[in-house]
Amino acid sequence: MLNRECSREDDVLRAVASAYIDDDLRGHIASCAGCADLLAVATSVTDDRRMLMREATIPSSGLVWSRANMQARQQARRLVIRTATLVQIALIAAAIIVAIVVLGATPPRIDYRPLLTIPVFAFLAWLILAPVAVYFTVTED
Amino acid sequence: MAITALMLETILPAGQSKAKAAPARMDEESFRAFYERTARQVWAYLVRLTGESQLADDLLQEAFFRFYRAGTHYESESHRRNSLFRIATNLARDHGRRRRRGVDVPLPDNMESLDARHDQRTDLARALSQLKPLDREILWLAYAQGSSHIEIAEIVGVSSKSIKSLLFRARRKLAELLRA
Repeated sequence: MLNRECSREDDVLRAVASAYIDDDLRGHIASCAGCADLLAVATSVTDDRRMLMREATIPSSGLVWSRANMQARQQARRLVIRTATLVQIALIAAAIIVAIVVLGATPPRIDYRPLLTIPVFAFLAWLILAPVAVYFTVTED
Repeated sequence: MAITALMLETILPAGQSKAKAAPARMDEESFRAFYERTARQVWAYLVRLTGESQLADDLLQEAFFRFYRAGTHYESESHRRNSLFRIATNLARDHGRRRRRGVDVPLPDNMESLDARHDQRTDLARALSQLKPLDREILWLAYAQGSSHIEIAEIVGVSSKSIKSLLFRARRKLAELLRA
């Protein structure tokens, strides 16, 4: 079979749509393998679609509209939380950098080194990691 | 922000700048009317792409949600419908990739029972399940939806020049399977 269209394919499709095949076209289909394939495929697919659409039990448009809006709101909320978290991370990082610069530039009148103990480091780590944890918790992607 | 808006106003024709800057979502009335017109068509398409009516239910809602979220301005009803079918196609493909990694699965039991009363439909469902996903997509779009080659190309993401030969081969395969 050649890989080309028959010039009467549009007639076949029109016949399928109208559910009527005249004798002339019927004779052509009997002698044209491509049009015979087209008739078989188009008829069964068209009938199948018609039956499926008839038996489809789709949710109401109001319900789908409500769900779409709800999902859109949830998504917007996640975006806000994500943005706020990122801003918080940036601010904390900036604060730490400023603190380090200030402490490094100021002559040490008191010995602050004992303050930099494990609990302080743990607190700083929590400050940084908690927003990161929140970020990964609320992010679905 | 004001400068950006001003630039958009300058570059784009009136009316387009707002759509580009912040895509307006459909209002409830338009959305619901569009859903009523297209949901059954998309559901039937998804049933035959996935072979599962329950999965088609889920994908249908997800398709409409993504369509709503996109909030794009469409030139015409056909553009809008093609966009929805493109979303549905991608959802079915994603699901297929996740589940079977390129291997065709047999027809699910629920589909057999759904079509039990209709031998011809069972044959079609079986035959379609043996085709490649792309073949199923283009056959359904061409003969069930009556989409043009250009529309099919837009929906399935293939060049419009290759649709003709792809469709021809897919049709021949399906006809052979229906005869078998």
